[in-house]
Amino acid sequence: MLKKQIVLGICLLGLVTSSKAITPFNIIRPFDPNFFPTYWKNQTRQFTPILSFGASNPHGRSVEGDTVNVLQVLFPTQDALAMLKGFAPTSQQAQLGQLININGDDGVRGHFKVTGDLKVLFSGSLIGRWNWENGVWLGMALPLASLKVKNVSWVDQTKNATLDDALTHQYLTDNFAANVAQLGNGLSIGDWSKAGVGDFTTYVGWRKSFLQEKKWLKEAIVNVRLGVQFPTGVRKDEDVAVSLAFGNDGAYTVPFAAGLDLRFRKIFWAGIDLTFMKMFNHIRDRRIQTNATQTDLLALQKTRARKEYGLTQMFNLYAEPIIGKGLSVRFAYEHFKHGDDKIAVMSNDYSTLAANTAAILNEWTTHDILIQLKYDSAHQKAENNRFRPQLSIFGKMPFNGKSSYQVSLIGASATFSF
Amino acid sequence: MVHKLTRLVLIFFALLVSSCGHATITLQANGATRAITFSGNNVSAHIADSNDMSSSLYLGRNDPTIVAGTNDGLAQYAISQAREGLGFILPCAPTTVRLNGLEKQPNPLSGQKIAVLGLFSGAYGTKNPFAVTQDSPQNLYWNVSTSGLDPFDVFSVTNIADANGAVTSGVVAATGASIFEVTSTTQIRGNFIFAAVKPNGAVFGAAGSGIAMIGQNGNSLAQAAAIVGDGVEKSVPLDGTQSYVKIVTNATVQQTTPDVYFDPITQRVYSAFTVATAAGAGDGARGIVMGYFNPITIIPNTVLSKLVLTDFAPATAYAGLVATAVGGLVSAGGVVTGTYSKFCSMYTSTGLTYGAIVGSNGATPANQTVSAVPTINKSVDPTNTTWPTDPTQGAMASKIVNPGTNLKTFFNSQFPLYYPYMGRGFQVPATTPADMPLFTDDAVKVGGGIAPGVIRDIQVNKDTVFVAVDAGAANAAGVFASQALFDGSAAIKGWTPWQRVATPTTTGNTIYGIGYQPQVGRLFTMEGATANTIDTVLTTTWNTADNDGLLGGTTTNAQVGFVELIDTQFSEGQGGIQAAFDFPNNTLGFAAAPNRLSAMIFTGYKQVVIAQTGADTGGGIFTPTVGDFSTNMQISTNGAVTAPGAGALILSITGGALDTIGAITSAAVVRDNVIGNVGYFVVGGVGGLAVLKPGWPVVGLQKNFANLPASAFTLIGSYKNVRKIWSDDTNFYVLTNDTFDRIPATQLAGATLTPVTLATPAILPQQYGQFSDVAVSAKVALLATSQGLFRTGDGANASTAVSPAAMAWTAVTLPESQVAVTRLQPLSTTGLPEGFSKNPVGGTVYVLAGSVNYDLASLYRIAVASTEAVAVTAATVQVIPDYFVQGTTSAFAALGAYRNYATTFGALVTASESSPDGSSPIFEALPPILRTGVFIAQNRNVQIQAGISIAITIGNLLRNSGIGSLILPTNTGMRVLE
Repeated sequence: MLKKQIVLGICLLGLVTSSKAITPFNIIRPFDPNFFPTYWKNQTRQFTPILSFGASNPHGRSVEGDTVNVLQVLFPTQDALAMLKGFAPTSQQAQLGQLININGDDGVRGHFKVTGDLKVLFSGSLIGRWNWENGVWLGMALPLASLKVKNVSWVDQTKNATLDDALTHQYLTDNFAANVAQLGNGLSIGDWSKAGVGDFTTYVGWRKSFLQEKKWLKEAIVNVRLGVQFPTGVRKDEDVAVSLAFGNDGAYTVPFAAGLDLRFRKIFWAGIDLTFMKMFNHIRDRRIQTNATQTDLLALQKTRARKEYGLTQMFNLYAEPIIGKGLSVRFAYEHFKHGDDKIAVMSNDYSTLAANTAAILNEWTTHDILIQLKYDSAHQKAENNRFRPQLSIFGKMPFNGKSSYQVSLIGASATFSF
Repeated sequence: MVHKLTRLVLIFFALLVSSCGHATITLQANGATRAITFSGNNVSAHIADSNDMSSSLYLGRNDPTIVAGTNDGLAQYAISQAREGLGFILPCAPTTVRLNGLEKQPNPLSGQKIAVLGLFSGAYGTKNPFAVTQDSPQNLYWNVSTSGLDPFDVFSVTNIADANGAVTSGVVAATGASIFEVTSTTQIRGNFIFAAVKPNGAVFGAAGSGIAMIGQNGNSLAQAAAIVGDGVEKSVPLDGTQSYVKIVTNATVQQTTPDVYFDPITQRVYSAFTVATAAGAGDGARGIVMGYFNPITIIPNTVLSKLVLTDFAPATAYAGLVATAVGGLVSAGGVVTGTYSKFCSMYTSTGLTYGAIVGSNGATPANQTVSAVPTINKSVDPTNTTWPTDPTQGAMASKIVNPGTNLKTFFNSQFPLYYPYMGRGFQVPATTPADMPLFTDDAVKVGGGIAPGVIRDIQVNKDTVFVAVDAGAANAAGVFASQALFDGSAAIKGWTPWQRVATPTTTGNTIYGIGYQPQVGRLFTMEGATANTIDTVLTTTWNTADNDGLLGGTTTNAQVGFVELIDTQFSEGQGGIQAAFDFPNNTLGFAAAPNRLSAMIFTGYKQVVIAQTGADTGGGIFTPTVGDFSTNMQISTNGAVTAPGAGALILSITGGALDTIGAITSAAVVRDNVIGNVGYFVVGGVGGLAVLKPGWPVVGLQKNFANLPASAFTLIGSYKNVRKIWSDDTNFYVLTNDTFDRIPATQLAGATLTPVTLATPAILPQQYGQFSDVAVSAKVALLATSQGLFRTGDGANASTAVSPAAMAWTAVTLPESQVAVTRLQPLSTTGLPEGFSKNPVGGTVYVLAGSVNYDLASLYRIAVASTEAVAVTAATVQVIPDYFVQGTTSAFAALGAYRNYATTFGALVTASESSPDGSSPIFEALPPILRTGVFIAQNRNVQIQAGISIAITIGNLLRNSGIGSLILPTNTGMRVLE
């Protein structure tokens, strides 16, 4: 009994909200407000699976916002000379850097043009929701995904004109993967794939409808949510350079949000939703940057480090014309912005200052348009009918952003009430 | 308004000029052609303001005075100014001025022939020229205003009094001085002009001659009384009768070329002159006197003060030395003469003060002899409060260095937490013959011997002495420089030989005056066909030198120039010129006079270019090779050269064995010391070593490569990744990233090499180490590695050791370094890099400790003793101590970031980095204030505008010993300072 109460108590700590992983990717997050089921009286339990697929190969948005390969989001080339910097002067990395680079970087020596294909085999969520009469509800969500980065290609830009070029080829780039693995304590620069769960999330929320007697405005629904995300998701594999985290990479997270939905006669809905996510500091072994000039995929040093996360903001704005009899089309604009992260190295062996120069810690954003065809069978079935599913198919198209991965998605969701 | 418009137009054209790729720029005034500065306004008197931020050379008209009222536009150039960064000459003698506060007065300097020129800052802080005219030599005029100001103030003093109080017959030399002597108990401050004056009705040296002290008095200048309280303005006497001149019996000061000089570091005035002793044995004289400033009352009520002349070196110190000691002489019977014409102070990068004196006692030509003598500096002792009036401050110091007693380093105990460095100075005056610097001392002989010609001008900046000389017995006219070499206590122990740094742009011209520009190492020069026809004022600049008549081709065709012809041999996409090497005319293996040559080798990807940079004329005068280099230029694509055609200057070689080598990193001239001067060009790089065979004959390589037979580069040995080839005596050395070998030079004649390995990474204390640079001289090898600097161990000998163990490699600790050492720059008395442990004094090696890993670099210097005749000991290699705080030896310069190269020329220190992280390359001059104990922020470095923004790689900066230009190789071709 006590155990049930504790579980319930934890669950009640959260208000249902959207949830997202820290990975700078525009995939559908669990409890995306665009996928909130409609609540009908007596529908105390609702179950919503969401499933989406990549409609195209994801691309990247660079720091400047240009469309680039997903492995060139932060840097057009990866710098193998820079990766050797910042180590103890007599370390193997430092001594190798001294061997091949005393004349300095010429802009291409030791640089690799890296490309790869990011595939979203599927991503989705399983969401359960319990509603009470007073507008309070409890939700739980378990994201699922299968991603892969394949055809990773490292093309050496090093010329063959100087002694340093020759030494760079001989001692580093001609056998690059093996050298990186050896210098980076097992760091792989090859393909990666993973299927698994994301961060299990609970929410508590409160919603209330206020009927209006205005000429156009007939109903306003307000909601607030608070939740907890548990770090159950697949974490970034620190030994695979191109790997991604499915969740918040081990950090507990508290999302809090509020939304307002307005119905204008029986013509259309419109709404706005704001979500903020506070991710708590998290200590784990991470690959860190040991020099300001290093690039994101070639971080040789793995060490204990605490990550302090920037605030994540999600902004959702929609308009949803009602076609009739439970059929509607939603046009939504979604914007994600994740603030600068910080990192603190938990030893004196490496510089926290250098670690914090990593571009991967910098702010990222996405902008998407979502078009969703929705059907709610409750409009056509009796109120006491227990089987009144809500269905939707959708397409999501990124159109802007920076320092992020972006994919066009198609998918479907269904909500079953019990 | 018109004047301002004119200036704007001039500035516009100056900018045009400076962006046209010229190197040496003829500064424009009213020259009839662009090749000359002036028409009808020859100049002679000049004074350089070598300012750390913006230098100037002020010029005085030498043509006869223009008749008043003549409006020919020239009168305003009676005094003119060449200012750093401008392509034209600024006139500094407007027709109408505010004279002594009176508006719209005729300028007494306008159109005048100028006899004496100096610089004075007065109470206003801005240093401007003062002048004495040929027509009114008893007066002195000071331009209070800077060129272009209106109203333009001029202050004057008229009828300067001689030592007897009568009006002088003329000022013969003068200098401005800013007195700033501050201790914890006293302050002596003021601005004065010290002028050497003739007596009334007689020549300088006669009774009544003296030094006048002139200061600002409201809106004019005024002479101070020599004897306070007598109420009569007069000069401090300087003839042969004073105790600070004569030894025993009155001497005779002669009228020839006296000089007055103020040293801002020691705060002392010096005068140099020619002096004859009396005839008796034991009678002597001194040709240098020193003066200090004696206040009568102390601030805040200092109103009266006087100049006190005193001994530069006491008479007792010369006892028995006859003519061997600098600055004076003693007769052994009969009249003997010491001829001294210039005194310049020297403030070395190690923080010590010296006097550079032009003159001699007759054993060497007085007008070709430059001697450096230590001077006392007690102002660096924070506990010393009496130095301002101490007669030994600024005097000649004992040459016995005796660290801790004579040469002392001071730290400020008022800050006991870290005791900051205050300065360094000699403290013991020369009082006995044993203390006296002798003309024959290595530490004294600037240039290692007499200058290449009669000295027309001298300037000293930090560690370098520059002289402008006439053509001499073995060298054409030009500007030459010598750089100080330091011992392990930071004192000067010797000098590099005179090396050319500038050449007249017109054949037959001589450079009569110079002005060094410390900020980026440029040089103003004044040249003319004769001393009375100096009509061209130039400045060296960093660029490609197009059409400058030197390395930039002829004045009409840049395509035939050294720069253009060599640049076009290298492909920018393949790294362009990756390295350059200079071989002066005393390179072992080169021919002797009258067939001497100097040469440079440029290397790149599968490419070698060999170029002559200087050669003997038919009369044996070594002369820079300039202008058209295209004569019989040979371009080979098969790795071989045919016998060069007559007058050939450039050999360009690709193909053959060079294709195997790929990127060529190093080149050397190796002499087969067994068979006279038989020698070879040897190059090395990624793919190994190649030698140009069969080499040249026993007489050595002659000018125009005249006796170089048909030859081909031939692969030798089995090396890979050669970083350096080094030649020393009978051996040459090969350094790769993981081996250091010695090979007898005689093996170059054969087909195989039998090297002796002297080092592998196993000598290093930890794993993964490798080598980056090496220098070898006599028994000493210095090995730069990724794990520090190593030297030949005590008792070992690099020229005979048979194994790494036999070398007993010993780490040289570089305090506060970043472990790895990347570059070595040896300096020696021979001018050859392999001379740094030879001759009696050895040399100095500048060491760049650079950590790619930490993106840091520091420049150190080490003193290396000669090991030609003695074994290597713990004292052979010493890190020259540089300090910021007491007890911690530091680097000479922390560069603030990683740099590929750091190069010193004594006065100029540069650092460079190839395109860091893909951005524009860095080529910077370290601040001129850089000295021991001077912290330099990286943002104080000055980016040298050498047109390299589109370059990616920068190679090693070096001097072309033939013409004196600095050469900076890049992947987009070379840039030059000339």
